Amino acid sequence: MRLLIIEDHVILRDSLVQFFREASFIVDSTGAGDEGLWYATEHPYDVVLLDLMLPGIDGMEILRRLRKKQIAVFILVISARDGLEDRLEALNSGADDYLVKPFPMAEALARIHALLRRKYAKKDTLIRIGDLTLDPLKRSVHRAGQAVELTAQEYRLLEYLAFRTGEVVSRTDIWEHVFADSTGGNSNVADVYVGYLRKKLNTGDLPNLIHTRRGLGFVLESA
Amino acid sequence: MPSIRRTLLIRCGIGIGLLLSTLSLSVYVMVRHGLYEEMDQSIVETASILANQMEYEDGGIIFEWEEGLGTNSDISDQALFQYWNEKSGLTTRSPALGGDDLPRFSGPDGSPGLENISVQGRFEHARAIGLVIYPYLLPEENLAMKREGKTLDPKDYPHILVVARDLTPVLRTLAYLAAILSIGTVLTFIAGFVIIHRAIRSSLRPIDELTAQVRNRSENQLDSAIVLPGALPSELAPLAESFDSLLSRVAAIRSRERDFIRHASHELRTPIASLAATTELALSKDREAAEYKRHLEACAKTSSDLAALVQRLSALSRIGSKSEPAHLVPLDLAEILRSSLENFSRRFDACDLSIIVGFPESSITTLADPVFTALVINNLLDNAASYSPPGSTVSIRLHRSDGRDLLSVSNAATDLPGDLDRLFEPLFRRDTSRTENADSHLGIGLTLSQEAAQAMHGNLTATRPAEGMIRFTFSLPCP
Repeated sequence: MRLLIIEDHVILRDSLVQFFREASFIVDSTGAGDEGLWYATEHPYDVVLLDLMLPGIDGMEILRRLRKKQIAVFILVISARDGLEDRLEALNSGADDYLVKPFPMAEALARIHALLRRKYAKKDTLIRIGDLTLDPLKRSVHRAGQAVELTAQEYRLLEYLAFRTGEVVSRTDIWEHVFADSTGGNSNVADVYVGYLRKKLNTGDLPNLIHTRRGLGFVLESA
Repeated sequence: MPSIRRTLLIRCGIGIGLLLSTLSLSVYVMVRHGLYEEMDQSIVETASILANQMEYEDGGIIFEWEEGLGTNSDISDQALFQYWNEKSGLTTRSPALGGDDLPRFSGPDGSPGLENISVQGRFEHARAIGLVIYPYLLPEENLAMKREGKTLDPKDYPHILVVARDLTPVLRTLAYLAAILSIGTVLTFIAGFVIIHRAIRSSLRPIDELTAQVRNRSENQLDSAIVLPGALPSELAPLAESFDSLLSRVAAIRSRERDFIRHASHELRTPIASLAATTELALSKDREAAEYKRHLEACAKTSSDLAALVQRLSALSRIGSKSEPAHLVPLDLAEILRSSLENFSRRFDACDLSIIVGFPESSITTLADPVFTALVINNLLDNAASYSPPGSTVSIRLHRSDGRDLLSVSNAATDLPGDLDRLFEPLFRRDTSRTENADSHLGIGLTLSQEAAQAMHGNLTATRPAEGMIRFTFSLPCP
């Protein structure tokens, strides 16, 4: 999953970036409003963490412009403004959630997961595909009751496919949401990582869950 | 607690009571006097008639009324009177008296004297006149006596006449009058009291309404104006207006305080969030020592930012506390400006700003506090450096005009508030962002500068010479 953090306080921003990276997110960050607006407009993020008081263009303006451009990214506002009118203004300008500073990181993470479940229409906190169970909160994967050890990159790919269970996911989408360097697209890195995942998931006689759709991409579903 | 209503009621009540009692008493006394006078007059008249009806005739005293002679026989029939012959001791009673005796008296030396008397078993209260009378001597009787060689002198036949009249009707009339006057006084007093009570209540109603308004405002909304009662008496209007302006000032101070607290807590939230985030991140898993060190350094940096922030905030809370008075000494403003400009020259260059400085032809020496003056000038230059768009021009002018020494700094600026006075509010920032250095633009520099200028009996104001331009003018009175 790809996150964008727009926050001008350097230390807070760096901490957020590292925290979410360690939580298996692909994270981009900026401290400037105009740059943040450009990132959010030009790249498909799953969630944007947006501070309101920013140099250049302020957070409220970024919200309005993104919504005006019909960019349907999920936005979690993080702000020191705790007044009801501030929260209402942000939510009414298109924010999906509002978190007042200071906040526990765990809460920010939980809210981002809640936004992801909303985005990918998942009610359950566990994602189940046949005998495969994925827990995004614990970042754990089980197949037929057995824990599966995955690298961060493999986990990110599986999580993304799992959130989009039953859908054909294009290589471009995978590239944009799963890999840190999102400038490529023609690479077969996705195929390589799908291969790794199949090897780790299909131990023994377990059936393959990640199916290739020729020319389209991949779909994660039980046969 | 003294009450206007009670005081007015008591005083008016006493006033009305005294007035009414005096009035009633005067009426009573006048009527009583009149009635007694009338009574006395009638007794005197009766007595004089009766005195005239005593004659000496045929060697004895005769009473005309006894013979049914003379006028006013009805008086003699009804009147109560009695004669005492002083010489013979004989007494003659009026028919109405029957067998009773009147008290025998007269004034000094036999002159008429009036007394209140009572006749046992007949009148409890009566008015009587007592006097000494002498019989009337008929001229022909006198002549006949003279012929016989005798001299007759009425003085030889003194009589005491006492005429009485029943006083009961007069006393009854007076008692009736007293009752009427008492009841009238009490009723008038009650009516007057009620009227005064209502008058006081209606006069004091605006005070009650005003009180209700003030109470309502102090309980609910200090910021809203008092709805003044419709017809506020002229005596109350100034009070209400002063109250309104007092409350408005309180509201303004409260709102400033609220803003200050809101801004202050807002300023504190981000560094605290950063501190919390960094520690939470560091503790979220086991890390290498170098990584812990990096996070701890970030925490230390944030803490020192926080400490600086809190220091500035407490400096701000001391503003206007007069704990740090200005020490005014003669200062050359041009010299201080030159040295400040030198310190800022590198920053102006870095921001690509052109500086135009207008110095006065002669030196300007004024009375000012060196620390405060440097604070104001440095703040103005810092503001110009921070908020002027790169490549623009900052105009600085120092001159003396109208008895004041003026230093003005003009530059282009965007993001100016509609009301420039807001720039001097604590923690107000033109830019909605925070800068990364907690020491700089916390939004209190201008507030501090203005307070400093005012502490030196000067001022710091902001004007808009043209759209998108701002001019700060620091003025001090000439010595």
